[in-house]
Amino acid sequence: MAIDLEDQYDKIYRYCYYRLRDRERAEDVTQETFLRWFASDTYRDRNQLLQYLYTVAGHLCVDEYRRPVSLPLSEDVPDRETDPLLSIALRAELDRLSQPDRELVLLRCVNEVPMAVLSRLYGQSRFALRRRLNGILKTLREALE
Amino acid sequence: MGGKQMDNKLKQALAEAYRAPAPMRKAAFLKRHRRRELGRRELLAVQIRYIRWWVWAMSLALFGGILWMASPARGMGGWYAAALTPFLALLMVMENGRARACQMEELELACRMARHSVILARMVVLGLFHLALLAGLTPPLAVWGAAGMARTGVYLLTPYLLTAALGMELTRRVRGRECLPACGGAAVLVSMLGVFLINFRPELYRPQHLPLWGLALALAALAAGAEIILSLKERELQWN
Repeated sequence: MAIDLEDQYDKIYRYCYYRLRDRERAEDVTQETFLRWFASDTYRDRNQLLQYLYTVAGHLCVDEYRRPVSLPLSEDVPDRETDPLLSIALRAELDRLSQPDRELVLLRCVNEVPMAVLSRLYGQSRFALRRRLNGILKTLREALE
Repeated sequence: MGGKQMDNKLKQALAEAYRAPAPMRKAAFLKRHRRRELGRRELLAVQIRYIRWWVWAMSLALFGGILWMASPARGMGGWYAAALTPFLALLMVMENGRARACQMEELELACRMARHSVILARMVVLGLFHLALLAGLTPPLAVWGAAGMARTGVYLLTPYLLTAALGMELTRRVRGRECLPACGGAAVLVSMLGVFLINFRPELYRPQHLPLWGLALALAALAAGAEIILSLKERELQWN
């Protein structure tokens, strides 16, 4: 099984954190997700495992926080090292995105989830998903420029 | 600003924008909980128990049968006895294709290990057992047949590997219970070929034809190796 457990823990936690906006609950959900995998007896290759982890984490987040709210990304985020103006512009643009699009950017550009896994998570073809992502990134690039 | 530079900058900015506070309980959690993975030895032990008892019993019975037929008291000659080795290979092939023959592959897929690891472990267990049996047969047959150890080993191993290659090819191509008669037919065919050669082309068993047998053995080994790789690959594709 070629996954770095520590790295994946951080990524699943980040995903949960941006869905729940609560450090404690995000960590609870992350741990519950991993415990479910540890208890599972089924073999999964790397992509199947990532899909499994994100699916379980997503469902647990929904259970944890059912009300769909769209909070701005600027809250409770720790110190950052990049140009603050750049971050502000980007954050403003990210806040304008829909929740699924913001999640897609997080999964693909930050958590580096393979497109094959994303296409199964989103139920879209890789081509359609890549086009959707390129559209979002184009908007973000324009905001940065 | 260049496209690549822009992408790097965007990537960096996104990483910052999505930065979450550091998890507090990660180290303790990962220290306390780990997924229990089966080790290689444990997997082999599980597969030894999985192989049905009569496969072991039949393998030993064939070993005894070959010894009995080849013994000077019976006087049938070691090469007739060697015509039984395809049936050893048949046991191995049928045991490996058992889930496929019963159309129950999904049971093997729903396990903690990669299916190809499970199949490979089973092949290794039975293959090594059969190789040990063939190695055990070689010295007495070499003495009784007045042939060298190498020649005897080649005569025993060639039909075994040929049947194994044919059987694996058939289990890949024929689904369901039909693969049992198909593989049985292949074993009988190879066995009959051996009997035919002994009766109608006995000169092929002379020492000067050993290179020819060596070539046949190499080809059979290559075919069996290729079949193993193809079977493992196909099993992964089925999962996908």
